[in-house]
Amino acid sequence: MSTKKITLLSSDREQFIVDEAVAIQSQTIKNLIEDTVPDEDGIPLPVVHSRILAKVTEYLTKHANYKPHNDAAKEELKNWDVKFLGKLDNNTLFDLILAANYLDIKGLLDLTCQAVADLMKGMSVEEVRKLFNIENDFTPEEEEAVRKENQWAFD
Amino acid sequence: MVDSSKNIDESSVFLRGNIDEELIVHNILPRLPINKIFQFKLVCKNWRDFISQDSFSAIYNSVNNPMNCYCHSSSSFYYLFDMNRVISSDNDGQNQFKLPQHLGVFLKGIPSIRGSTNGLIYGLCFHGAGEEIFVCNPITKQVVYVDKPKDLCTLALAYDPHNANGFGGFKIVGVFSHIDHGEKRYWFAVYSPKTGEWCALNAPKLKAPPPSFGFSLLSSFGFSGESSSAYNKGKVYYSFMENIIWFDVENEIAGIVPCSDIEGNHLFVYLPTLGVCHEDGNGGEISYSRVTVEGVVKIWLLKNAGGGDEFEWVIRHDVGLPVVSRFNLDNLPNMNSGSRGSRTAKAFFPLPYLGGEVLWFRVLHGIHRGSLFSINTRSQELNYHDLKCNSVWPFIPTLLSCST
Repeated sequence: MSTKKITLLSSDREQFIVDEAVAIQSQTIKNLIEDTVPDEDGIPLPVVHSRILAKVTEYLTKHANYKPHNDAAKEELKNWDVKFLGKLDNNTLFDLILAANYLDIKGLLDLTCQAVADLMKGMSVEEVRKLFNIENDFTPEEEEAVRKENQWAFD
Repeated sequence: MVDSSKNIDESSVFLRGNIDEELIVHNILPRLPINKIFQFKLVCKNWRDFISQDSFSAIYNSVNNPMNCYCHSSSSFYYLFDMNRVISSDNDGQNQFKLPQHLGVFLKGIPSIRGSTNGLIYGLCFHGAGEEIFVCNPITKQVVYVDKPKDLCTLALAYDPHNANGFGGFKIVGVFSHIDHGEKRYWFAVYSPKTGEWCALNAPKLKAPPPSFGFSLLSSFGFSGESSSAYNKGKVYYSFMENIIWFDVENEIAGIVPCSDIEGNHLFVYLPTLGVCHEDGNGGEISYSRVTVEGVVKIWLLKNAGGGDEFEWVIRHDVGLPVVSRFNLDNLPNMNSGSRGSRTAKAFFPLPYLGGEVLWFRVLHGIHRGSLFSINTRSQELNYHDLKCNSVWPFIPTLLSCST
């Protein structure tokens, strides 16, 4: 049985050859296949680096080949997702969110966003600023006002 | 393993600081516990402004589908957003938010909390001069008190979390009664915090139901019993013996939908439970749940497709509860010896049906004891949920309002 193969081209022009069924889990890739004449080297994804695209295809391959029919299978897929996330550092995690958003892969976007949310649950305000490189633009008075107004959340 | 710190400059497409604010706000923040979200207003001005907007409340609701109900033990109340987040009237248990102390109490043996609508809790309490109606946003702890008028039979809260006036946009819809020439008559009045007044309405007057229902009516529709109400798409619904009474808040129209057609000759154990089922993807429809004496749970949906006064009943679940009676309750925690023995499906009081295959029940054992159970109709799996409290009084499933 032969399945149609799709070649994806990362921003650094590395080729990733995957089954069509794997690739079209990305709505963006699906649209690109339908609407555009492919580059002879493959479908160009100019904002996704090979380091990230490798992770994306790893995720897509697992999820395309794995249609859970029962609870045990669902559980296994869940465990796989947890392991997959466990191997990522924060930078890769953020890059994956952006890639999942750009490529329009809902499952991966949910998974990675939940991972960041879980990370944030245990964080202080200062740690969150650091995580997203956000500068504190409050004056001490303004900060106090916000704190006062939302006192219930800090109790 | 790749050393990411070395590679980041050359291979990271987007640097961390560049992660789209829209992504954070739409996809990450709504996954946090609500108090954490409000703490993170301190991160920067953009976040503060964003979290304060009403649109964030809509996003939050679209990501979270909280299972809202409340329950009480002999000394405290719990209001559940889901199985992990609990609002409590005291410091016992797993609460993350505390309800203003005087709201979670008993009045004449009846829980002060009467129900909840889209994240707001309402009920009766003693405050100031006498008995008053309260409406509370348990998240922000805002409370509004309204004098309880004479002749009030029952009340329900109409509240759309996306209304322009935020918390102050709720309306209390009361059913009143008086005796007119020896005949009991019912009418509606609506209270709005904007005007601060009850406005009696010229909606079609409801005549008292046939005399044979008279006695049951008092116990089911008055404050002495557990009457069930729900709010959805501009209409408040009350269960009323063999009928659903609905009231269109904006247009001030009321009507009655008989339940006799669907109920047939079945005998039911409890009064019906109304809820809002959100599986139609179109703003939800009213669910109507009952358990027969044979231990069959029946759930209907009341379709109101045109939004007018045309209603249609559709059966959604019709399941026997054999698993329930086989379940060994003796093995559960918090079960004293007095509650051992047979436990039939009749002990299962349905919670408001939200949609899906999992049905929720409050199970009574002993006079003031109870627990929360869920049953998956597909797998027949039965789950026990330890709430660290005795009796569970679930009410209307709602979305959560973040507006302050």
